[in-house]
Parts: sequence; structure tokens; C-alpha cells
Amino acid sequence: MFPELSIERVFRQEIDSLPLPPEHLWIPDRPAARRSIPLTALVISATVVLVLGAVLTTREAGDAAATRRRVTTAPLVNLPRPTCLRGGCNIYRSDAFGYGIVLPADWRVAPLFTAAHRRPASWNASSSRARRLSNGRMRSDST
Amino acid sequence: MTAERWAELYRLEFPRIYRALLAVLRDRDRALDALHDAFVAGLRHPPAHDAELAGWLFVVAVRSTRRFRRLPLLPLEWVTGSSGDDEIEAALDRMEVGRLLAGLTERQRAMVVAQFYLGLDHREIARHFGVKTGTVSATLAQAKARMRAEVRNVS
Repeated sequence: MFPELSIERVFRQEIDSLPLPPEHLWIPDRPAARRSIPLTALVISATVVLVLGAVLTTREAGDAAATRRRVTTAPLVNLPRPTCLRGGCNIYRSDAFGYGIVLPADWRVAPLFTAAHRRPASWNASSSRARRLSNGRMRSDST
Repeated sequence: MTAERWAELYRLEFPRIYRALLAVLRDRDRALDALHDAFVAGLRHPPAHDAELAGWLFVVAVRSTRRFRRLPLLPLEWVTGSSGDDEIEAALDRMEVGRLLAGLTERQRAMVVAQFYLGLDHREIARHFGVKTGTVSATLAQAKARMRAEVRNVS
């Protein structure tokens, strides 16, 4: 019979005498852990720089967008300026309704479209012509 | 199992399992690589119980070496020229145990070392190697017969 009990002891005694590899090959040393600290700091600082850059870029893009919006929503700059030619101005204000309208310079006030009511006799010649026309229309309408 | 616990077990178990692997593989580099592979595997999928750790690591390490071997079950003298470690082989040849193990296949050596050095029984060896208990018994019986013959030849 093979002496198993004694052979177990011999196995342990002899195999335990085999050499181990150098410690640096299998035991993680502390300097290795310390060396990782600068790397960690570098990674963290790079992350902070990236985040700050992203925030600043986003903010600048937002400002640019807001500026662009203001420019596009300010068409009043292109409105015709008030001009006064031949004694008449093209700006019309109404304090009662709180508005001021600027019309282009080449616009003119059209003569009032006269209806069927009478005009005072103090109107000028052009008004008399209009009155004649309107009277004729009234006559034709009445017939 | 936490990474800290695993690191503690690594320091505790490394010498015993490394030496067991040396006795089986007879090569320092292969033993070290195999044990590192086993510990990495354990870090990913640790065994259920700490008590089984030595046997589990040993078998995982032995298996990891077989993945890269073309002829894993050949007798040692057939492959020592290509993968042997002269210093370790010389040390093992000076030992009675080393001479006895030299005539076995790598699988037989692994089971013999698991039983006589790591103290696993047949059931535990079968579970770790993923074979039936009868297979372990048969393999160990063949290994013991060869070792007996070796003892007879020497005497």
C-alpha cells in the first residue's frame, strides 16, 4: 500500500521549499500606488479644464445667439427717417393713441375720397372740381 | 467579494498556489502567468466561498495554461526541451517529489498536487476540474501506480 499520509507530508515539505518569484512581480508595492496619484490629478485637472471650456463655449454661443436675435428682431432701424420736404413732414404722431408713424419720403397724402356729403364752400379749386364730380355721381345715382 | 478582500486573499494564497503550479508546470513564467490569469478571472467572477479559493485558483490557473499548449497531456520529458525552466527543473529533480512527478502527465500531476499538497479530496478535485469523481479516482490511481513504479526503479 502506498503510504499516503507520509507522502502528503513529504509533498508539503518539499514543494514548500520551492522559491517564490521576486516580490515586485507579485506583490503590488506602494510606490506604484503613489505614482498613480499624479496621474489621477492630471486626469482630474484635464476634466476640469474640459468642463470649463465647454461651459464657456456654451455661454458664448448663447450670447451670440441672443445678440443675433436682437439684431434680427430690430427692423425699426431700417425704417425711413422722418424727413421734411416742401413744408411737409412724413412723421405722424398721435398723442391720444400713443403712436408715431414714419412714412417713406416718397409717400404723399392722397386726397380724401369724398363721399356723398356736402363740403364747405371755402374749399379751393381742386376741391370744387371734386365736388362737381361727386355731384354728377350723385345725380347719376339718383337717376 | 470586494476587491480589498480579493487582494488580501491574493497575498495570502499566492505562495502556496504558485508553488503548486511550479510542481505541475515546472516553469516559473508559466506558473506566474497562469496564477495572474486565475486571480484576474477571480476578480471578475469570484468563487462562491473563500474556503474553496485555493483549489479554485489552482484549477483555473492550470486550465489557463492548457489554452496555450498544443500538447497539454504529454509526459513531461516530451516537452521539457521547449518550455522547461532549468533552475526549477533542477530543483525538482533534486527532490524526491519532483522526480516522482516528472513521470506523470500534466493532468495527473495537477490532481496529485491538488490532493497531496493542497489537501483537496476527490469530490472537490472533481468539482473544480469539472469531471466525475470516478475520473479523478482513476487518474489518481494511475498516477500512484506510476509513482510506485518510479520508487521501485530507484530502489
